[in-house]
Amino acid sequence: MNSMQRNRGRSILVLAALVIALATGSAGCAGSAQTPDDPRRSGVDEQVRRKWGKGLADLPTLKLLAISPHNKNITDEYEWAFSLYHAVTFGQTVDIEWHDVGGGGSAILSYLRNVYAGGQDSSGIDIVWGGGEHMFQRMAGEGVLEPMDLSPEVLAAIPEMFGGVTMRDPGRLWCGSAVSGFGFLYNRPVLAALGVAEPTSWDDLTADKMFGQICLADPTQSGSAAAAYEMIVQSAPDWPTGWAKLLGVLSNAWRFEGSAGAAAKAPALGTAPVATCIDFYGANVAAEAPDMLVYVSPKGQTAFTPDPIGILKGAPNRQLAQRFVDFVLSAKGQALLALKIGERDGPVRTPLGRQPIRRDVYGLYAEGMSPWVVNPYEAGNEMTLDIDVRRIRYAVLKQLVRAAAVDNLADMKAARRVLIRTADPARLAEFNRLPDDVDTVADIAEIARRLKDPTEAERIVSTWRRFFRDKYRGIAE
Amino acid sequence: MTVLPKDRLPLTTSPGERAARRRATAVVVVMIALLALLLLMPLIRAVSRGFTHDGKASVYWFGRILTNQILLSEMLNSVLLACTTTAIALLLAVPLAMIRSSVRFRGQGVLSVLILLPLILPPFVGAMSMSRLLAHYGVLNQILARVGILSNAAAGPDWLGGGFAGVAALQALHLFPILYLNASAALANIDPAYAQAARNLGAGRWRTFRSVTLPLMRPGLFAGGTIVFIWALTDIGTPLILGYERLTAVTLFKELARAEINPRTYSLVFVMLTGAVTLYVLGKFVFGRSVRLDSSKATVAVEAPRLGVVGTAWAWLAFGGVIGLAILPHIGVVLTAISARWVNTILPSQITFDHLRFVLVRPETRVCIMNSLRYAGASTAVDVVIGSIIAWLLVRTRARGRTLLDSTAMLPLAVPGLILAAGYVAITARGSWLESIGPMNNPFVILVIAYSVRRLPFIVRGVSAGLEQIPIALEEASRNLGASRPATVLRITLPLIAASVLAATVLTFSFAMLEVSDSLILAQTESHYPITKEIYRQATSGNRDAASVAAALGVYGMVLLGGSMALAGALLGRRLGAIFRA
Amino acid sequence: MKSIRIENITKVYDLARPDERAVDDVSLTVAEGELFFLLGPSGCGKTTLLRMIAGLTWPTAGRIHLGDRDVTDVSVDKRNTALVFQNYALWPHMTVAQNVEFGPKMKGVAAAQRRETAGRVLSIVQMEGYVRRKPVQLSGGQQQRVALARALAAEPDCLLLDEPLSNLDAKLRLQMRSELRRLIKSTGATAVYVTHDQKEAMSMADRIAVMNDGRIQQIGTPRDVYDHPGDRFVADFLGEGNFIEGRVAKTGATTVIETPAGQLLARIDDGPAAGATVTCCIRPERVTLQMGAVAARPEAAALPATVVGGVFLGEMAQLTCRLANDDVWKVTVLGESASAAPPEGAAVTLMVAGEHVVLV
Repeated sequence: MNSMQRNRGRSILVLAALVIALATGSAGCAGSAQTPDDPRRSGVDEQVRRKWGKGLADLPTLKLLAISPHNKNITDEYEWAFSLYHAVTFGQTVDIEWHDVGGGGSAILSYLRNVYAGGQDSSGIDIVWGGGEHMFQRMAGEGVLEPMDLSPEVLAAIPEMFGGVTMRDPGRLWCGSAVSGFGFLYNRPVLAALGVAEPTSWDDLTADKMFGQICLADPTQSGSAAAAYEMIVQSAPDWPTGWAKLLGVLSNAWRFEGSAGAAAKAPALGTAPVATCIDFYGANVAAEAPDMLVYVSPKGQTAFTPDPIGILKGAPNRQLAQRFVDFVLSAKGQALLALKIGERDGPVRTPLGRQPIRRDVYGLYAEGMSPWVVNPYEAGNEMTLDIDVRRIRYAVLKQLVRAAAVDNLADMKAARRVLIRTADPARLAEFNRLPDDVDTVADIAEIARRLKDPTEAERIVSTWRRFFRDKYRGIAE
Repeated sequence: MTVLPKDRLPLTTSPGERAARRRATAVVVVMIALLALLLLMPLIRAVSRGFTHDGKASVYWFGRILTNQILLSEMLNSVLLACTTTAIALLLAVPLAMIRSSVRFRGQGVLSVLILLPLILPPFVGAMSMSRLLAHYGVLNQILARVGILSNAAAGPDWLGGGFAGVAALQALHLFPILYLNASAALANIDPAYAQAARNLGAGRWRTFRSVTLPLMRPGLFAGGTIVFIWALTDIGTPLILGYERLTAVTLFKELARAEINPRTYSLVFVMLTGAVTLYVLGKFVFGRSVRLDSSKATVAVEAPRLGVVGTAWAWLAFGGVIGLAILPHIGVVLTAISARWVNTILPSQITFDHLRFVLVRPETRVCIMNSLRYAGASTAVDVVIGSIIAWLLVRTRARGRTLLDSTAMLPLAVPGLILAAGYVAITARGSWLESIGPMNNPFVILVIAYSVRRLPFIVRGVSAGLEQIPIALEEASRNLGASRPATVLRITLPLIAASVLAATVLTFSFAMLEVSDSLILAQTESHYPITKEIYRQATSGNRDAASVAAALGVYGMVLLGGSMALAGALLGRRLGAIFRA
Repeated sequence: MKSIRIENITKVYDLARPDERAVDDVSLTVAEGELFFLLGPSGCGKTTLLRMIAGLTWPTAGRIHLGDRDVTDVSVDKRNTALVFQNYALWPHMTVAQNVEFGPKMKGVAAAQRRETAGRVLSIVQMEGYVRRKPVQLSGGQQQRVALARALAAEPDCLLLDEPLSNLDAKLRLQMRSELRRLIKSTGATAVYVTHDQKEAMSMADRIAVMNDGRIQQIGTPRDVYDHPGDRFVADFLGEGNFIEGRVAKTGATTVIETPAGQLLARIDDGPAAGATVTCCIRPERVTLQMGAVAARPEAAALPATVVGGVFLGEMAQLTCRLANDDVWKVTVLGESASAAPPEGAAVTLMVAGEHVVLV
């Protein structure tokens, strides 16, 4: 073949590729979540025929738009169950379009900020579900959420506060839909090889032998990590002692990951033998090798945080959104989180293994729940946080941890190494010393106020960061 | 014939020349406008908060950065890292490209495809597999313990604490194929007569390489070097795996991932962009001067010597060693995909093919692969057209505004993915005139725009390098014989720079397939997910077998990309390597 | 075939520096069918001028006409010229046939006719057996001929050649000169040929324009410019010359010039007035060398000299001789006398016939 022909061949090939690429471009690919062989369907179909005079397949379909970081197991089960529920109750089936913007609460929040940035009154999305209570408090504060109707039954079954954590917004802008605890996961053989005792409490994580062995999460990126750090502080009698304890854990860090989920992978990958993580996540990871990987909920030191749901400002399908919220918070919808496959009101394909937020559900469905689902209201391992202190300190603690540990990791570790070697009490006192502007609870309130202003916040955090760096370097010398 | 006195001769640019320059300038303006709309507008929307303070336009935040020692030292660190990475990548790529172009040996075609593999590491699962390999209690230390170098695995060093050197080494291993491609394309365009002349004049091999071949390769190396440099400057993946965070890009990424983003962060984005562009322009001034070639391509036919058994073994050792190191993470991904249990062991202790089978039969897999192909294919097509026009304007015309166009077209390399994606969300928000292409509807258009903009520099650099290496006389000859500009481009220029264009296209397509930031944020519903987002969704699902299922998707992604590269090679020149000898 | 008329063409690359002129106010006319040479040292602006005719470079001032058409502002592809590039600029990705057929193809000539044209011109340059080859597979001389064929196949109004022989080895170059002239002449094309090789110009041109420093120094037939160079530059550039200054002592049928080396005679029609200071130019091959002292003759002056060096070149010898005033002249001795050339240090007389003395 001579070269001109080959060149022509090439050109034709490239052109053809371009044409195909462009032609197939705008043609979308349909791929909606298909209901598997759902044993509920035949029963529901009968009910629907009786009530609405036609079969399930002939009912009109409504569309609901939701934004959520939840995985496909959860979204599928809820979409199927809600659609059937809605068909029986209202005579229409529902398609839920799940939007995912690649990340948890902070990704959703910054996405919504960009969407509402130009003064838009609607995001085109109805429901926001999942992402941490702090994120929802922030969304509520930014006026992105609309108040919901919550029935007395729901209000009675979900405490406004539990263990010091807000479970639902008093203004009904959001409401928790599930709860999760926070503990740690460790790799037993590696700890044995290192000669470290298996930890059972947060205090165990402050041990010198734990130095450099814990994979932690950055509290400014992970709400559950932030909640956990607050718990550690609260488990001590006062603020300076609590901070010293927290710093004891923080300075044992191998590294700070961007999310609690990323940190949870460390023990299995071998990057660090211990990692903090959310309970259901830890349980799932440990299931790969139960003899080697262990998840621990530290007794009396675990606070549960809610996984909230809310309706977005300018929801295009406001009524349907309310019905979805009602369904999720109904006893039936709650049971879906915890039941095994095949149970009545349980999931069809995958057990979800999450803890419902309604107290009553644990009694109503006690039989069919997955074994690893524990009733947080009975477990007796929750601790009560000082609500006011916590609320004020929340933002301050996150930024303080970031300045002291996340952004100063190398210097902090160097200082801690010296502390372990010398066991010098003077150095330890210096190590635990707080910046002047946050060393009392009163100061913290003042700082919390100032942190709300970005200019002040940047100045304060930069100053802290320098403060800690200089302090650590002084100790290491 | 009237002879005008000399001082009365009207010395002006001729109307023809003015018209030509005006036409070119008009195209430059159109291109800049296009980039302004699709790159600068979203960018400005995203970083504008960095330039307001107390409700007024201000450079306050800018000042805060310049007086912040930590941030400044991070910038210096970033530049040093980028220089080191580029240098290591050059040391890896150039010798291999030289071997490739000067000798023939068995298995060359296979190696030519394999060498591209380091570039196509799937996101998330690739990083995970690299972590597992280098972890303190990871695979490498367990191997060292097994062979007796370490007393036990826990006694080994934490390779993930490798810091600066580790980041530079891993980045170079990941990115050197870019330079290899450019170096090979450049070598293919160099007349062997030049080197022969030098050898003939008594220059030794090294001397010939240093003073003849290397300078002639410069446009190609500059093209690849720029991309590697800016990539290393703005890379977050590798530093995050190694936990090396004293870098501007990493700081930016972490700040942007936070719920409360301080305005200083946006100003820092601007500083990084300005820095990257300045370094690029500086680099162009120092290294990028074009070489005027009188002749190129071969004027003499050279039959590359065929290596014997020993030579072939050495060549395989050189290529195989580098490639083998660089694709260890890929092997890790494959192993993860087939592991049922992999904790505290060198290899998975239980093997299963369920994940691979599960992923293969899921309709979602087919959908996301098709989506990726469509997004990547369409955006590559757009890039080839737009990028070639821009490259041509830059190299072959004297239009005004070329430097601006050049810098703007390089900018996307340095723009953090999160920033640009946020900008696209903002400009397509409800009520905006671009709403209809927004991610709430079909995200095809906005994703193709995003992908195209982000990968444009690859084509622009690749094609520019190609253009700089073909003598302008070849195009003049065509014009002189009556061919219009477009006809000349189609019949003469494009075929001559086919190797460069194709190399750039392969890169563009691969990186589009592996795009993360825009895909995560803009492809929101499952039916529009590209494979990268599907991998992310699986990897973070929290399910028991999340890592393995995500890795299985990654395996199919690698097979797809590797396969399409091999296919491209097979179709376009029997072997991919052959296209570099056009 | 069209004539070429160039009026006051000037090229300034950087308008900020208007005194740096690549081509400076050049005017000339090339007749239809003429083979016209632009001759000059490198950097004299001859290639720039050629490129302006082709339309590859835009002039800063002046007009260019092809035939009756003012093409100054016409783009290169619409001028119908054909340029043979110094490095041939054969497209390496095309075969010989594809290269040659390119011009007709761009003009929209049908495939069959294109092939026929290509076949014809390739047979003119005796390359018809190489149609399937790639340029890389051809020798320099073959590439040169293909380049010429490519230009001819376009059937241009004028053919432009930019040092087409400079890349060939010496022997081939000599051989190609007459062949190339024959080829160009056989097509009847108006041709402009750029070279720095004065022998090429002398042996091939109908007329020559000698250029220096962006300007035309002299235009004329080869014989004209060789025998009657207008100035010292032209004389020096076209072959070698021995120069000596003198004063006109007597005018008439023979002008007598007194020089420091002795008396010279010159037969010039419009000689300068008596007493004028002039520079005489005598070509080395016009000097006849005689052994020993010889008296002047009425038609030839005799200058005593000493041989100080020599190079034997086979068919001729080149000697250097020191005159009475210590000037050193070059003298060429041809034929049999070359072998018998006087040794170094020999006293000789240089005989210079009046018709060979040119005043520049």
